[in-house]
Amino acid sequence: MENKRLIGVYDDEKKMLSSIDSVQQNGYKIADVITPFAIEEVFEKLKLKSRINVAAFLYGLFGGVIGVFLFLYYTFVIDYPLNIGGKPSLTLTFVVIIFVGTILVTVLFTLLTFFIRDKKGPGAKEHFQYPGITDDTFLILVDKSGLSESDVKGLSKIMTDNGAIKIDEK
Amino acid sequence: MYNKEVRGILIQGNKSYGDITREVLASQETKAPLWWYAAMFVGSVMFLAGIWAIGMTIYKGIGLWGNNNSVAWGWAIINFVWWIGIGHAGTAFSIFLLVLRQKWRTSINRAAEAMTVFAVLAAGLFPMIHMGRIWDAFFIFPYPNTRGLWVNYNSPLFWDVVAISTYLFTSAAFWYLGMIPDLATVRDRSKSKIKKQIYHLMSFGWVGSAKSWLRFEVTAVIVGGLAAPLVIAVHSIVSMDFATSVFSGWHTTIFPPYFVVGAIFSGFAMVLTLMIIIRKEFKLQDFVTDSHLEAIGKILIFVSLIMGSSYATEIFIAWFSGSEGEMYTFFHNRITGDYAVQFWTMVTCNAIIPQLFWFKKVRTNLTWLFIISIIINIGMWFERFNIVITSLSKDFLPANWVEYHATTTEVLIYLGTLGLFIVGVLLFMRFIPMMAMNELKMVNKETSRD
Repeated sequence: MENKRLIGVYDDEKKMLSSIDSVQQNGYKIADVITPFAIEEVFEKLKLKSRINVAAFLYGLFGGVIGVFLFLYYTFVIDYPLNIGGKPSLTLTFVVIIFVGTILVTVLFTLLTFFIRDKKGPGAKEHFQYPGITDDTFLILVDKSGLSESDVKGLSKIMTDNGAIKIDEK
Repeated sequence: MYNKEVRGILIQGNKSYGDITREVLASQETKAPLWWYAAMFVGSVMFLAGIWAIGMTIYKGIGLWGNNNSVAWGWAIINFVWWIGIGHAGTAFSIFLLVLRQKWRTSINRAAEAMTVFAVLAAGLFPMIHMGRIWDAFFIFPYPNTRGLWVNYNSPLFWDVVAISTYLFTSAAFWYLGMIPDLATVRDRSKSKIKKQIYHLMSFGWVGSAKSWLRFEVTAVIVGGLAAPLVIAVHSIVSMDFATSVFSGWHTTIFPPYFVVGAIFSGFAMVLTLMIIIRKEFKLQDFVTDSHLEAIGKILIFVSLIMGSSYATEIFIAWFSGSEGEMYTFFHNRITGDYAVQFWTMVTCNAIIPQLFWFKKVRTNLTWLFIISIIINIGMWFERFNIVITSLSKDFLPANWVEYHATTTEVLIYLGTLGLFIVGVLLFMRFIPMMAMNELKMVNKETSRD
């Protein structure tokens, strides 16, 4: 099988970050960056955004606050209003359950969103493998499709000049 | 968004990323030490004794316990509240410090969260067996049934069920989510085929691409951020089991904050106990430094002062209220009377002894830190004893007054939950990366020194 991606391998995140800048400045598009830990600057340089926070807000609002309230209202006010010392069925004590219920619903669905969106789950296949990426190795991946032989050579030089310890293809 | 200046040295020894991986995983990749097997044996025996006692309780009934008509809540509820308190540590520790952007949490949060999960499991067991008919325990959940009834949403006992199940789920999920990248590290380093397969299953296909890290960080902050108010809600709700009833010594508005602070107090003390053991036995002094332990010591002084003030406030309000019942409970059934020993044990362990942490020599001495952390947990157990037993044993009718004594079955159930906790923590030490390696690596460069 033909190798599809050019890989710059780094042992230091600072070198990798300056390499990302140079690669982008030279007009190449970075397909992915793989690191053993989260690096804020990578998100900024690759202009990555996540909408999980918006989803979480909606889960909280609709699933939690409205959903839990409607459940409580239906069961306790409409379906079987218990008479507890003659007090009204619709009481402020609902707030306690709505508060905790909202957290439960939001956490549950936010996690599900993360796992589905990121295609993660028990036994899910690793979409990419390379020695040391979960330990101390940092990778910059660039798609080779559309790149000429001289482009690949130029890109390899940029990466090496910025401190890549190895240039690989996969 | 996640950047913040860090203070002081968090990781000593000028380590490379590879060093961090190797040193944290050394406990898993080398043979277990002898003490681990010995502790596992003791923990398992305690756990089995507890299972036997629970089995007998289910088979013969609650009559095996020391509970009676007046003291309907005995050891089961004392231990429930005690364990829930300890269970607040992990989440309190890792989430409050996450929200406050305190990066020194990175060495400790994983162990604290593991502790939370096992403590909440132990806690949840007590209300279930206290019901007497454990096979009907599911009646507490609101579900459509042939009786056409729903549960009483006005009852703090139902709030408890919702809060504790939510807390167990959220803290376990937060713990596991943070663990996924580190489980992938274990997977990638495994040489045995079976081990690789197991960690492949557990690491959910984690690779560490930029997009995954971004989603991971956002999800962790959301789950953590939501768990922070949950920590406060859960123990406030537990306190309302007491505070909403009209009992002297219970019917007081100070209970929610007093319980939450008490929970954080006992939890932090348990974190300290555990971290001292982990640091010493697995030689992780470079990660859990003296300044980490000193920081926990400083927090404990502060929380201990709040505990002391709470005890004083309770007593003052009992006197100030002019209620005879309240005054009797505090002045003749706690400060003096049948339960004076338990009351003064609580005050000494929680409000007086931790003040020793004002001295730098004490809070930087591992032996003192270890001893005082255990004393605090003994004190917190007695606090729950005082709350549960004293008020119930002498209610408004002197004809109802009885003494309460725990039976062997109750003691064994308590030992069983301690066994569950010990076994859980020991398994955690062996099979799960004890420290969040990916987070340690994040703070490594800017904070490490020789």
